[in-house]
Amino acid sequence: MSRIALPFLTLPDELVNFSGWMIGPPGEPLSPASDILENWDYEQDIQVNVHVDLDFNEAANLLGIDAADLNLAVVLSAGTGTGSLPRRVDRLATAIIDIERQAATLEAIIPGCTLSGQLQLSLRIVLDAPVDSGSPLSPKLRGARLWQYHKNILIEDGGDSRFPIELASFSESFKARPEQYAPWLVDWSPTTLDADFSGNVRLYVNSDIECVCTRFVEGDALTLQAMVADVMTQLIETALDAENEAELHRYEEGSIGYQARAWMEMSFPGQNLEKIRQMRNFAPGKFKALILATADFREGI
Amino acid sequence: MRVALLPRLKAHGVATILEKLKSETPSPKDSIDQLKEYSALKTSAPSGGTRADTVAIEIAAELRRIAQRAGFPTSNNQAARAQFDQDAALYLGQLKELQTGEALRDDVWAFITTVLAPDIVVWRFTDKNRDRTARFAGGVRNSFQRLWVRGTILDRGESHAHRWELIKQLTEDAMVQIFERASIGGNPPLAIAIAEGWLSTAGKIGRSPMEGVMRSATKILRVKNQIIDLGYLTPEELKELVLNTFETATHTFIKTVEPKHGA
Repeated sequence: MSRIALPFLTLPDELVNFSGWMIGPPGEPLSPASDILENWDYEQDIQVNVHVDLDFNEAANLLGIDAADLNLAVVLSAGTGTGSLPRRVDRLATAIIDIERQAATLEAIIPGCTLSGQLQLSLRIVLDAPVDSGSPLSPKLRGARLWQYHKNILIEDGGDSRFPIELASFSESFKARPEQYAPWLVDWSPTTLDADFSGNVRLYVNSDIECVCTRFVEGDALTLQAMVADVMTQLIETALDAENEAELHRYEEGSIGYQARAWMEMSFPGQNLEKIRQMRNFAPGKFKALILATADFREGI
Repeated sequence: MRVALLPRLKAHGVATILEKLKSETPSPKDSIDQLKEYSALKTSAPSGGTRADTVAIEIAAELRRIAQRAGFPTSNNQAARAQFDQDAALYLGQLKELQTGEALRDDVWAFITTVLAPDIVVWRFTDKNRDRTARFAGGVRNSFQRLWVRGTILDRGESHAHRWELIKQLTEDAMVQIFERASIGGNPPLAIAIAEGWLSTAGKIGRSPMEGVMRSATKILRVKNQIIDLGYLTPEELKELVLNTFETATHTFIKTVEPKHGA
């Protein structure tokens, strides 16, 4: 309920039977919202569903208004943008409850492209009618806030934990260049190991090659494994040119250099820089196979 | 619609570049050079759209052209700065690429401001006080983000005969009262109703007392919004409530000021 003391009678939490926030991708079974919505990005719309019911006669009695006259509005709204108060709030759905309809289910689909950083869901019960009625302490104005509940959900747009990957038409992006026929391409510069990984490394998958595109979209494990292993190999091979271990350890978390070292340690546990270099030079097949084996993430990258 | 994933600059990136700007005047370098120079500080969303560094570059280039038409870099007076604010708000507010969650991100604006167009910021905000960082870092005071919000919210719609009148008529103080209060600026129907209320009241009582009246009106409306869900009201109900509030604020202001006039 509100942190401020409202100058009229309101509805106590015990009276409102709220089923909780159910969210998920549209068309799929929804689940209770947690504090963080993982694996979200702009292409993922979010469906929200809430159900509320109350003992209407008791509510009217508590508000000091005749139950036959009372209309309450249930309002679902969504705010987005970072900060304690969202940068933008929009009303998603409204339903009226009265003596005849004492429950309401509200549902809405929020386009993913409009969201940013967090999703703040609000459910309110406000006075719809009558205006200026009841006892001296009864709510008198349309829109008077009688009960409200909020939920803040951090929506992760990939951040540092999602692999930077994108479908692109190579015949457009690399027109008349030999790479237009490649199934994928890792776009990055080996001279910027200090740079942020997610902003400066990107795996482009060629949407012109239908079978590659389909396998990628469907999340074919072997295809993704081969793609990620290619990225890992390129980064690790560059990192192997470092002067010594200390140079590799100076890269900050989130940087390309840091990611390269992390993958190197995963692929060649317990081995020092010199040993890994020797394997690359004298057993390149094994070197690449170990990276390929490490790239089997299965649960998602 | 695929989202244009714009380059982002985190707070430490802003601090790093501003430190550098202390010892050198920002110059309109080629944006590609700027991107390259600060690539280590740049981030962007890893998925969910198409990486669009070039969109950010084009936005900065157009803002520079708008600034030049207003007098940048040689002429720098209040009229030139106000002209830039108006024209830039109209441009940014209508850009399709900014009609997504990306434009709500502070780090996206921080990148455009700090990396791609610091010279325009220094021209637009000549003061070097503590607010300077806020003009570069993302947020309600960011040099361009504040204009984008105005252009987005105060648009009366394509079919309106005076579509951009609110942006052209409201003073900077009125804009600040609306858009630096999250409970108002983040609520589009309320924000535009208050802007309309300001314009209507200024038409009746003149602009000179509007600063005091606006401050008083927004205070009352913020308290009312705590008690009544103003977003639930119909546009007509909201308009009436806002106009009544401006009337109350005007009377209060005049009562407070009149004795001084009489003295």
